[in-house]
Amino acid sequence: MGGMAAGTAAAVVGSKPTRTQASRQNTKLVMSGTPQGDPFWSQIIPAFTELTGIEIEASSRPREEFDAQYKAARAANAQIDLVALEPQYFLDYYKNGFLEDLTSLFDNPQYPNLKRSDFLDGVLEWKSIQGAPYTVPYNLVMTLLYYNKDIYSEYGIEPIQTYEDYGRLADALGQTNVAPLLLPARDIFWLPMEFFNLISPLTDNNATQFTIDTILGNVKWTDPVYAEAGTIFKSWWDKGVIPESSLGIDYNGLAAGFVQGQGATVYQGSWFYVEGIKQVASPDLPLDVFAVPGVNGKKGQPNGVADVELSVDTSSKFKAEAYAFIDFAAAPENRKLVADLGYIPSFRDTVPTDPLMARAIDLYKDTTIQLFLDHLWEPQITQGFQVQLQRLATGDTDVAGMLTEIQAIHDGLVKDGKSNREVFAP
Amino acid sequence: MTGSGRWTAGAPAWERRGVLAVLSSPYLMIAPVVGLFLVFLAYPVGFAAYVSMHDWSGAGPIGDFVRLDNYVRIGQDPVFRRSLANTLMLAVGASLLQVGGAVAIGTLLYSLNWGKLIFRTVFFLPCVMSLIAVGLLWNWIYHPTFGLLNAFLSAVGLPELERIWLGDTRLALPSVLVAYSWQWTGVFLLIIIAGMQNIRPSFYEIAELEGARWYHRLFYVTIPSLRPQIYICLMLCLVFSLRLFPLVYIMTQGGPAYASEVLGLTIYRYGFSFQEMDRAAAMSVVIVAITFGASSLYTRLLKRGPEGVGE
Repeated sequence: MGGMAAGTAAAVVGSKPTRTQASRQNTKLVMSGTPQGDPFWSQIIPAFTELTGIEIEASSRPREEFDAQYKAARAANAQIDLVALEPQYFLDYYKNGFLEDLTSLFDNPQYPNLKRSDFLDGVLEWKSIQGAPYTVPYNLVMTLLYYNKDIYSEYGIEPIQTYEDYGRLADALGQTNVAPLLLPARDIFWLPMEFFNLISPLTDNNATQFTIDTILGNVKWTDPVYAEAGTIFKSWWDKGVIPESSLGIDYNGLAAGFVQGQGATVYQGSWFYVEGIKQVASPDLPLDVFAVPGVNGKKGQPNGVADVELSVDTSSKFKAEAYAFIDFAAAPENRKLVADLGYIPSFRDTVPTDPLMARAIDLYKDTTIQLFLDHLWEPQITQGFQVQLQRLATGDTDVAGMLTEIQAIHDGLVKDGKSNREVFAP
Repeated sequence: MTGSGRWTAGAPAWERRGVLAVLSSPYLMIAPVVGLFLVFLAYPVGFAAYVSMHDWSGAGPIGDFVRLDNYVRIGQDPVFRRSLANTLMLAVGASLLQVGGAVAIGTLLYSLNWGKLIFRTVFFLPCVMSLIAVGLLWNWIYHPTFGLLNAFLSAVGLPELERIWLGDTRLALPSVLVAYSWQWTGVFLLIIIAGMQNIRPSFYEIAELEGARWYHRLFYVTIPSLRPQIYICLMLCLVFSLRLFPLVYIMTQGGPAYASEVLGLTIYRYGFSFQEMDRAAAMSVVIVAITFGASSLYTRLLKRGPEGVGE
């Protein structure tokens, strides 16, 4: 970090805080987060402390434990200043009033590294409510289709362009032990993620608004769009595109299976490569990516979110110092660090260093990335989809039954006042 | 405590005995334990009971008093009912496998002339492993395409028995039960072996003189003599099973389609994922009630003691 210190100094001086440097010497910020950003935070926190004298005590919890730990700490009135939150909890924390409105930080000379125009399309809006951002994103994760080039080549398969091509893939690999599409159907998130990915092309890439309309009750979960997505999804199980064994595979099993050549294709986010197989696979793994396919002649659209991001807790007594750190993390040198660590930076002026991720960005250069739809709806809906899609796979329900169950969960949430509709209500 | 005039017959006992006597009184000696019990057990249970009758998401102030509404709601909730049924099935299965297995293995080990210590250590080893490690280990054993179990079945010429162990609605819960029992049988084995060492050898000698076969000795000497230990094991097994959570979370997350959902997982999901701490608390109170009822039953059985054997 020695070489970076001089450069970052400018950023810190530029983001001159409201308190004096002397008072900062006695300040210790507490940061609570998940591990996605650990490589980044572990490098910039010492640099920030060295330049400002402000210490940051950072701890990260596994994604699945973060929510409980964070809420327990808040309930105990423990000090929390910075929150590197797990993105799926954003709406929940917003509803509970945990996160500070960061509008005043942007395009403010006091925080020179935070310019709205610097961020890639979408990434700030995804964490904004009524135009007000509540987190600052430093990276972008987005969905891709990973494929094993050797398998595709051996069986004469062309990269998939449309969802109809999955049938061709299943035909080519039908008599082999290779799964056409390897899916960790045992873990929550991945089945719903595969399902809602179909909503984009089926709504002419208007899935976000369609989902918000569903949450508001203007569209039913039994709508023909969801029914068509369910029918396509069911056909993948029936045709063997997704093998039955997927029901016994979790995320770790997915990565291991793909690296061992047991799956030809994987639908996952960029994290699957950056935080997963890049670390363990041999460099000669015949890996490439293609864009999310379209359906019925309509173009596909990837889902995305930032998972290295920072918010300020509303209970913080050191907001000025926390804002200074948020700004510091977005300094040009630190944007480059984001890229060098293998992430896709959320800033227009910084390209990914990893060639595969640079290619992924190139694939989507003319495509708007939409927020993960499960970050809009309630966790009960995600859990409902997980269970119902498993039942759909085992033939325990049909598409109509599945969607009726989801609508019932939605109605229950509205009745209990636990729906997200008040967040999106005009 | 200063003037001698206060040392009268009418003064409280603690004053008459002096400070040392008070400090050594049994009430004071057990005070730390009682204090810990109140802080770490009675208070959380009482708080859960309080929350279960209020409206509370888990964040912010506790809401309105809703009487027994949360209990009614969970009673109507098919996920909770499924979860409760699975938990009870798991508890019964675990009791049979773990306690039954411990008695069977203990009997075999007891009859060995050598290697008792080695085998006892081997059976106990899984108990010292973390639940997370056990879950991950069995995940790989059960993996449908490159798991050890399916590979073994294939290697011994039984590929038709290969299954998607954790992805099959009929097999997920039994598969978790096997992993769970693999870890905990060793604990009960130690308790059973300790009990067997207290059985008078003369009982077996008399039985042999009477012409008793091995199963006669097992059912008429060993098991009746081990009744206190078996009750303790059953009680512990039930308590462990009712609060089982990490293993299921790692191995199946309650799936597929709630086939292996257990109460610990449901409580976690409602409390922390769904922000319905009130219903999660109601479920916790149900677990406490079941545990309390079953423990009371076992304690009563335990008090009856062995029926004239081993005394």
